[in-house]
Amino acid sequence: MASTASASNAPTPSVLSLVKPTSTFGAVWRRLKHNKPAAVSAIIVILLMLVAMFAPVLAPYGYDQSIIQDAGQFPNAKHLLGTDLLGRDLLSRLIYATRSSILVAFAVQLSALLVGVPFGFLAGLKRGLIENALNMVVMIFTALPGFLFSLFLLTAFGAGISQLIFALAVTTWIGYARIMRAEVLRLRNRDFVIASQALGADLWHISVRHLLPNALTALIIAIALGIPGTIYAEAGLSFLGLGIRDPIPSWGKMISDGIPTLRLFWHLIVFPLLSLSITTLSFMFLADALRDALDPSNIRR
Amino acid sequence: MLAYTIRRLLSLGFVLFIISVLTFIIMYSVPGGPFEERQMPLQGAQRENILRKYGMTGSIFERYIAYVSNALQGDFGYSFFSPTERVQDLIARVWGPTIILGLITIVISFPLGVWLGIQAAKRKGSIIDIVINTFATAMTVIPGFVIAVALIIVFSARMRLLPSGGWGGPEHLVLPVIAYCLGPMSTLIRYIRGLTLDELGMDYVRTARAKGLVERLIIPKHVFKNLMIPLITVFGPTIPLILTGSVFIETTFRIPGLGQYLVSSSVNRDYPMVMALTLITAVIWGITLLVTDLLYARLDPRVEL
Repeated sequence: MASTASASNAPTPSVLSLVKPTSTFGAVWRRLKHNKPAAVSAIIVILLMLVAMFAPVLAPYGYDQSIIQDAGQFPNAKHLLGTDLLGRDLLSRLIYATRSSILVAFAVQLSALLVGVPFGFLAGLKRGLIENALNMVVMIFTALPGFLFSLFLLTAFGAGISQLIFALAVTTWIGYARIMRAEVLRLRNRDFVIASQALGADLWHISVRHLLPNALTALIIAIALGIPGTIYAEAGLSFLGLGIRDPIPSWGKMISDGIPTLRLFWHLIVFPLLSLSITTLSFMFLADALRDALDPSNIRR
Repeated sequence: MLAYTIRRLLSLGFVLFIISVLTFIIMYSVPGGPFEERQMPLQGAQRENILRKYGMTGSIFERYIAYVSNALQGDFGYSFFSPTERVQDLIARVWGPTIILGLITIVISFPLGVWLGIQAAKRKGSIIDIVINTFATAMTVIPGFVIAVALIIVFSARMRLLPSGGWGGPEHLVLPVIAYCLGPMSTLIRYIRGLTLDELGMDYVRTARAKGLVERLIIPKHVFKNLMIPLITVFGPTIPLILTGSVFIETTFRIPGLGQYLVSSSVNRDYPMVMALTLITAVIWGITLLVTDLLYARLDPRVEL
């Protein structure tokens, strides 16, 4: 994916000819490697995915295993992060929450991308009837109030992970469609596209070699910010009591469950909040680093 | 331009029609409802009367026609949960606080966010950049409702400086406005910072520098114009979102605004409210998008309408 972004075939000026030639992907990777926050973020994201995958192995207790005589404990040796007011081990719940939060976020973003990107691409590229029809759909979905619509779907179909993914994806994909459409509109009349057209390139070539790679930066930033965005949307729905169904934990649900007792039992909210924040930060740093690494005009570094 | 605008307004009408049909069908086909036997056991005649008052008799087609013809005359029916008031009066009453809050938020957070973002980009790597960026990042990664609760704990519960909620004097505005501003502002800072850095790496900036343009004129004269387009496409559509209110801010600070109704009407199956709110939001968004696109074409001569 990354290999298409920078101008590897461009005639290199004298300074660059001294550098050992590498592939574009190699160049991007080299820049990423030297970016410490990005490297740490990448490790965190990989760890999160491992935690999500192996949650049952890693968690010392079950997520709904209630040890009532241990209720409301602060972090200690037996319960490393303490317990909640029902005596459930916070660390175990946090581990399982990672699983549900990551699962929901990835599933929503993936489905939104699969629908939104081709859609927005066509809406920006085609003219005439197709453009109007696609723009109409974009308009309808954009005009539908997103959060309200998600809520409405959830109240109609009931809470639950798959309903949640559906309800969020339905309102997320339009964002990608809009970004993609805007990018194509921005690029479509640029000189290099027109030049390519003049040289006889077909639509496929122009799309794959010029439009998509140049739209990639905007898209990657949107994805890296969209994943935490979905985690937040889920947190918000949990705050309203419409997220993932009890007793399955998610970060957002743990945070909103902790709010009423925040002044007494700080640990109930601090640890999920930290998980949420660190995850979001990692994705944001990754987005920044990728943006820098993918930007061919950043050749100086 | 005019022809384009008219065409877009016509298509907005069509979009409204589709959305109203869509919402109507979903409401009609979703199982359960506010006047189910289980929810509200009523005698036959009473039930008939209630259903008639709320326009819930007849086939879906008849109901839709009745709804639309009433709506076109400015009557959106009665809210199920506030039966003494017509929907349009209820909305007009509760929208006030939300709009006040939203406008203040926009006026503060947008210019401040753009300005701070540009400042950070100009001084990339400096202390100022690090402070601004860390602040914006921290505010982005903490959910708004947590910030709102934290503000209440610090400024009302501990320091007893400001009321923890409610609506009335200007002192009631401070905490909600801060809580509401932080979200859009920090997103803007980060976004604008990234964009400005991108633009500063462009050839035209190098040219401007090469021809000897003073450094302090490069951003206002050259870069800012190029920031406007992404700014408008990305943040333009958030304006109606802010003006229709945030349920989190409004519930946390107990503000009697529209944001609360966006959620409660949907949860309570208050169909006339859902319908009216959906259509209102759709109109506002449609107009925002139109304005966005018109500005788009004005600012970037390469974009044709």
